[in-house]
Amino acid sequence: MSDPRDDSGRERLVRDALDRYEGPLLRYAARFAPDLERARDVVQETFLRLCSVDEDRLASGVGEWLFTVCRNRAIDVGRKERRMKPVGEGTTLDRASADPAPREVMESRETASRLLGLLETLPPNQQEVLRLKFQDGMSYKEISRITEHTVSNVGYLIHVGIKTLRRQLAPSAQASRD
Amino acid sequence: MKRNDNHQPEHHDADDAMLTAYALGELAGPDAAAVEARIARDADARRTVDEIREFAGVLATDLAAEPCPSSDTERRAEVERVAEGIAGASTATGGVAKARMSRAPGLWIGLGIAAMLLVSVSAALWFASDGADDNGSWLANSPVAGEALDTEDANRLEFLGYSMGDTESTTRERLKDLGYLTGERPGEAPTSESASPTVDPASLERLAKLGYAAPTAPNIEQRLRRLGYLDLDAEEADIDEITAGAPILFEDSGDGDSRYMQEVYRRAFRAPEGAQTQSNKTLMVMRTDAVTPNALGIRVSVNEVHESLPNLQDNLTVSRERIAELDWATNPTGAELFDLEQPRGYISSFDVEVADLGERRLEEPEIVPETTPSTETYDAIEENPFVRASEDSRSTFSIDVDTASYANVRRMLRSGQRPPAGSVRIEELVNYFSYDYPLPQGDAPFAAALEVAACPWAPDHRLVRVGLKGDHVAPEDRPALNLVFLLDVSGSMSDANKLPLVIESMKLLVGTLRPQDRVAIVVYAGASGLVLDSTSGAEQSTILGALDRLQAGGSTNGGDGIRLAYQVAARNFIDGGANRVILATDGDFNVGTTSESELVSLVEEKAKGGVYLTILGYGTGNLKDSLLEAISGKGNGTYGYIDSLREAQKMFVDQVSGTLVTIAKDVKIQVEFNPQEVEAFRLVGYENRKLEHQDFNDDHKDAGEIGAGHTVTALYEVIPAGGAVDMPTADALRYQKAGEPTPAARSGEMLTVNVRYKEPDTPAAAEARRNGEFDAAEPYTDINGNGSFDAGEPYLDHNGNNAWDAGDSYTDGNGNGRYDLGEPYDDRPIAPPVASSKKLSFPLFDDGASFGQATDDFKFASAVASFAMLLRDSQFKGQSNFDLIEELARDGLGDDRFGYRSEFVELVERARAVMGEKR
Repeated sequence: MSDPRDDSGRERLVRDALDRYEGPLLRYAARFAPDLERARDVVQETFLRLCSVDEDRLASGVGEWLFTVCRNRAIDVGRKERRMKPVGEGTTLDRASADPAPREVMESRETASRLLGLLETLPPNQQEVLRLKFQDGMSYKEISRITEHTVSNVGYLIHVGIKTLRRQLAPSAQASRD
Repeated sequence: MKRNDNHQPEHHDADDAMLTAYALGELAGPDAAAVEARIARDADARRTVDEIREFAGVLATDLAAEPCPSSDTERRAEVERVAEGIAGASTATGGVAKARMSRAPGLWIGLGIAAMLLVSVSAALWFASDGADDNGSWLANSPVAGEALDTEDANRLEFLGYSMGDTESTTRERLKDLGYLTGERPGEAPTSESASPTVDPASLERLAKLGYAAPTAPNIEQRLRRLGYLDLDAEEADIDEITAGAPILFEDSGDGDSRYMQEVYRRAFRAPEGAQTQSNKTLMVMRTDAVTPNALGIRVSVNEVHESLPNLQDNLTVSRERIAELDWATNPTGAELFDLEQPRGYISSFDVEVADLGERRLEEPEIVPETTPSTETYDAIEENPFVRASEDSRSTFSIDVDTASYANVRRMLRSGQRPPAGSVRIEELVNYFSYDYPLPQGDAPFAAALEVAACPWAPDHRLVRVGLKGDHVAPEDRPALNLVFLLDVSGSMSDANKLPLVIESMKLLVGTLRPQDRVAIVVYAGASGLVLDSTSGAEQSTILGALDRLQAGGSTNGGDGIRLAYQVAARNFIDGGANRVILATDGDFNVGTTSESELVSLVEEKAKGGVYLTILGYGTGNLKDSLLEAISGKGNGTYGYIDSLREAQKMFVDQVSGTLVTIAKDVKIQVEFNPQEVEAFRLVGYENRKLEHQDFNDDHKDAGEIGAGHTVTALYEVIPAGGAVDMPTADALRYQKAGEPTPAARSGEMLTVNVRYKEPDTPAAAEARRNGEFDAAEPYTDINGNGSFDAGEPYLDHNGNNAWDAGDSYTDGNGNGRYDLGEPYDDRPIAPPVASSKKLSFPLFDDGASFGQATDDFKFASAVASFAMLLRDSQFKGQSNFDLIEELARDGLGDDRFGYRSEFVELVERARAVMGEKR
């Protein structure tokens, strides 16, 4: 197999991807990983893999590939963390990261927008697809490949999510119309 | 395809979902056509689509405003490095992949132990791992010695996370819960012949639930043994054989019982090459029975293989490093655990180095053992000879405010070493001390303090002191600081007089910061990274916290620390402030920018952009003194050597303004001697700061900078006119006569000191080099002759504007003698503007003062110079001896506000002993 790192285009690709996706991926991963440090690890690992991944696998877009790998890894790490928790409880094993927990981060952000606050109350799967759609600009198809939902399921989750948010945002207006 | 799992009681969710998809532009073809048909006839559907679109816009806007968590430069740099192909080549091997497959599904944290290091008499290190185990007997079959929960056990359990707040009984409960102990303990008395613990299947299940899935029995046994619950005695026998400094035993249980003996270099341990282990990355360090008061420096570097995803084919190897110091004095439980960041891959090899840091006494560094091959490097110094004033009446040099040599010499003398001659730079010894010269009057940034008296080591000669005193900057007038600490956290820095001292000294500096000051921290090892982004001095705890974390942390990936540091400094550049990178290292400066010349030119270039460099040398044995001096000398920087907290206090607290605030740069001194009064002269020291005479007026030539309140002192040994000069005269010239004396020569003046300097970078000048626009000071072509720059007038952009400018050469296509649009031209890169210097002149008369009439400062400076010459065994030392030096120094103590001069007197005593001279 040819080593993609020999391709000088790969370096550019990785750099461009870092510039464009590092922040969004972190934001995304932070919702799965146990803490921000872990999220950073996950994102770094994702980009490390991008350095060597076979060109073919990027056919449907670097962004989609990054989100897919990042998601799987973040969930993986999250699972491991939960499994290990009883051991690490309140001990030196549990070297808490200095960064605020994602939850705290989110809470501080919520004040910025009531809408985002409401978004946080949606089921996680709806939140995720809404964010991928409206924050990261992914299409239904891309979201479907990233999250392993079917396209119609993605459409359904987004629809329901939007509907709930709209209703909660303007309950009186919605009520009168319904 | 109706779905009700999201409990939306809607009748037409599927239809509505189509509307939503349509509104969001997700539909095409027949689906889109169907929706279009629907909204054409259904006003509600139409409105719904519009509202969804509007809402989607709002949602997208709000979500876009949601900040991304800050990324991490360190990690990013690692990715970029890998992407560049510098490191992390494809090292995927079948073996690693296989190992991955055979790995137990659970993660072993804290319990798993594959490799054990027994470190001298003091500590044991375990590298947690679930390496392959040989077939062994079931735990129940092993007799257990000493299962009583004594303090040792409690300490060990701490690793397992059971000590915090637990009573001994709950600890035992938990142990039992984990299956380590079954059966009742016979009372509280720690009898070693108690019942053997057994592991029951239920405990194993519980273990599995805790994430310790399916451990094999020998695994448990081995781990318990490592923890000391089983036959610890056997291991202790090994410990006994080890003495401090001797080779250390390494047991790699991954390979069964194979053991490796390794040569230990300076009490450091290195694992054998290619030691294979796969594990998470938890390192535990634990105190054994033999307790040492000493601290340990531990450096772990691991090569991780990052597993590939099922759909990826390559594994990646990434090197990471962690450094920590374990101080028994502050950590009496002796338990320390390093989490080598999160499990991210498998370790293909690792290195552990343990250095006994000795008792933590920062003031008195360890004496370097004679046997240790020192790699300190010093350039030889060829001392300035006497020069006949009739042959060359001028002496030109750049000032030097470095003080590193004194601290370095002090360190060597205190440790009983005779300093190599090359390490003794006389001017740095003299300049280490501050002198009470008068402050400048008027606008000049500094004043000169000239003095002449008899030369103590050559009574027939005169000694001239040229002193400069930088203007004082009151703390409240200190410009805002933009500091970037660039800290070396590599393994060589783990000694107590290195990284821990760096951290302590930086803390001192941080203590003096004000809210308008900023600090960032960049570290480098095999690696570099931004540990703390630029942070206001108001956030003391944030900065101190970041410094504290350095002890247990360190950087993980390769990169270019110094460039990163300059980047950070540039990004947070404070106009009119003091912008400075502070590099702390032992000089093993082999990261990133490698060659000395490259490094020097980088530093030089950045200094022109207004970011200066302070280099702080730390530690012993590896100090690349000449390199550090070269870098700081070329780069408008200062170089200090920090061997104690007291030294840091001097640099960062007592003289913080002088250290950080530059009041004049490119300061050059040219002394012209009057041949009517002076037969010959000799500049004492400053050998590597000498300039050609014409360089004095060349504003392109860099020279030293002077900080607020700093004093700079230079000494000349002068042979008065008619005095004997111990050197041959040159033949008389055939074509010209010796210079005719000017009328001024008959004035009786001995000499004139000329000083050139530049104002430190003005914000405007610095800006001119950075932007791409017209700035005041840039020359322009005044088309309409109104005397000012107007939009549309061509100007000469100092930073090269990629357009034809006056001065660029062009090919005159039509031969009309001027540049026309369309004619090819050569856009010369235009050199940055060179600020012009100012000159001050100070004449000096020799009133024939005896040495006794000299000022305290004069006496003390001459004592230091005499001392330096004696240490160097200089050919010019004359009558210098320890008694004389001590007498001079005591005479010149003055009020010695910070006690530095008294310290010098002690050092003279110390030197007397080291040099083997009797009183």
